[in-house]
Amino acid sequence: MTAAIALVCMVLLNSCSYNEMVEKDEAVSTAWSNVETQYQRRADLIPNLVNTVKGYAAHESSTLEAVVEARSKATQITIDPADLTAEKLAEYQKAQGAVTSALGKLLAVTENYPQLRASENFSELQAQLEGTENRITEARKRYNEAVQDYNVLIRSFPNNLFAGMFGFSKKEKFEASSGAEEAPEVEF
Amino acid sequence: MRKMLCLILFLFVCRSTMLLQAATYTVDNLPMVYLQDRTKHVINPDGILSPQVVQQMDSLLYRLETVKGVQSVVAVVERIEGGDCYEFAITLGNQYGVGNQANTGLIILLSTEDRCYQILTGEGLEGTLPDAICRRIENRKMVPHLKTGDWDQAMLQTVAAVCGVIEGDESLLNPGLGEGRGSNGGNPLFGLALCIVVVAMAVSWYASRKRNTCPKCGAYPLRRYNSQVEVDRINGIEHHREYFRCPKCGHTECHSHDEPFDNGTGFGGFPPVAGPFHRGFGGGNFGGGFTGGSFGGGSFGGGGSGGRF
Repeated sequence: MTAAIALVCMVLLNSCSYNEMVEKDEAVSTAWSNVETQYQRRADLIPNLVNTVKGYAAHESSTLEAVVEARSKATQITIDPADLTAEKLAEYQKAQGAVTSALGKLLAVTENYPQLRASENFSELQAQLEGTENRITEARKRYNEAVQDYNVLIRSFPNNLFAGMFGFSKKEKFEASSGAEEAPEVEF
Repeated sequence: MRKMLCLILFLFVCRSTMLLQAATYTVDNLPMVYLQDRTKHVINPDGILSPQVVQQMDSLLYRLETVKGVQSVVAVVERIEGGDCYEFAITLGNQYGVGNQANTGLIILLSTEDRCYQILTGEGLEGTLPDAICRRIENRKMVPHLKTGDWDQAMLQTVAAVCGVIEGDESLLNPGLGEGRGSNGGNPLFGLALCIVVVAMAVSWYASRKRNTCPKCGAYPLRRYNSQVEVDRINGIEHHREYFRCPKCGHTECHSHDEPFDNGTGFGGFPPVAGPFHRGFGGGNFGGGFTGGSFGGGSFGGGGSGGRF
């Protein structure tokens, strides 16, 4: 008897694609941790970049401090992928956006220091920074795709009837925000 | 006559618009020569590079794939859609899945009219070829030549430098090298032969198991308790008979088969089935030359370095 009930339950769970929801939920978590990894990678580059710029442009201290401050604020915010609410994501995005714009200003300032720009060390650091910005963009894109996949699954009929029951709620995507998130444009 | 003239004019217009379009490449219409011939990694549809340089680069990159498993695409074109080398390269890489299971794809792109270049590394190659090293190679080997318009030297030296860095990384190995054939996927004929052998083994195992299972009670295996050989020298045939008994229900069975008579040369009883297998192995051609390659589903996360000149 119990075996029969268990069997029925299994068939029901299967038909309401519980396993698929778990799978896609995990995919979103993975994609999110990749986004955080890439932002962390950028944060790890900043001290080195700041020190290099300092060596050539010591009196740009206010710009440099702005970068350091934005970085320390941004690294304090981490989000548990199980708890990706719209407010938290917005807060995270705002903090990281502040880093992006501070870095953009710093790179703009370096235009005035031809010696700095000519140094191989700076050029390579800049390549790492650009590469990281590219990685962030790619990671965010993949995260959004994973969320899209997941949301479509849990919001379509009949899964929407069960999703709430099992605690699967809609997740938030990254929004392209007002210029703050734009990668710094670097011209040679 | 007027109709004819119209047709010619129409064809001419078509042709000229086609030519105009051909100058701007999209990810979809870029000719992926590697898919037709896996020794060719360099895409040079506008003839910007000289054939000798293309050949030199192809051989460097073919060796790179054979030894290190790094699948690469080098493209030199006049103009790309969007005019942004990074965007184009990453879309190209992810769409075709350049790179093998280890995800060590590599794309080097130069667009001479858009005046941009990009080295893009697959996610598995980022450790071997970090962004800073890509930039260093670009700064030292590529950009000085790009500025003078020497596309041949710019690309050749870049490819050589990149190959040098990758080949210097001992931790990077071609996953397919264990089979002694190098490149990803190896020789397709060898794979086919392997498949046939495996299938044949499975079939023979299944057949032998079925033959040794009691048809009455399904017990396995049957015990052989007697055998007979009758030799027919006139027709050169041996009649074999084997008697089996089921240990469970006592059912008895007789299996009989004929074999060519072994006349003492040692070859008489050679099973004829070995023929096609030998042919299968022997027919594998090395290098191919005309065998198309296939991309292994690599992905790109944005690693590498690029710029404008």
